[in-house]
Amino acid sequence: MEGLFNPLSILLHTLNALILFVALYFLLYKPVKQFLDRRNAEVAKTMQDADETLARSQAEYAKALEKNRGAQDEVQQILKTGAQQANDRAQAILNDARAQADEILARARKEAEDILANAREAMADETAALSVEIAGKVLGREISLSEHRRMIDDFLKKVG
Amino acid sequence: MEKAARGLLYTAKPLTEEEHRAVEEKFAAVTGREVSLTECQCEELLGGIRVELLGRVYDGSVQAQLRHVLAVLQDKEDRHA
Repeated sequence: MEGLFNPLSILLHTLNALILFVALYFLLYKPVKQFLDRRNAEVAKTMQDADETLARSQAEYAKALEKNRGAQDEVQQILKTGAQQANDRAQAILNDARAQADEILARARKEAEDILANAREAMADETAALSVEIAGKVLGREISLSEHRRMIDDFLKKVG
Repeated sequence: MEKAARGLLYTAKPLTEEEHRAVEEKFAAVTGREVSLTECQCEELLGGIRVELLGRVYDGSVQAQLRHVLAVLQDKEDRHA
């Protein structure tokens, strides 16, 4: 029974265990804990960086969204203004075209009137010429020798 | 009197010698020269005579009067137009 329950052996075993625990604490536990703490710190820092990046991205996204909204409003305004300008321009072109058409019509009327007046004048001239020609033919047949002599006498009185 | 002048006498009907001489004497008095006119019969004159002498034309024919009437008619119509 002394072999089984030896206080010295128990003490030695306990001391052994203690030394082992101390050695393990300094050789294993502490470095591992330090390693784990370091790693935790790095992970925390990475997480923090990621959070900051996320926050920055969200801010940028919100800003871009706002800018896009503003651009859309601007586009709408430009389209509206453009449509109005196009409408005004079309109306101006239409008015110009109407004015030109009126001018062309007036010019054509004037030309037609001029042509008509010239034709009337030419016809009147021709009528006068024809009348004189007919009178000449009639007179040529009707003038007697005595009338011819009378004309010569009248002519000689006027000459000089 | 200065030297003689020669001209042309156009007539619608033939002139007697007296009439021809009368015309020559009249133009001699007007020009102060001895005038000799060659007679040409021209029925287009219709009546009366036309004399061409020393670069001038003296037209007493019916044709000239008709031309004058025509010119007046056409000029009047132009003015009215």
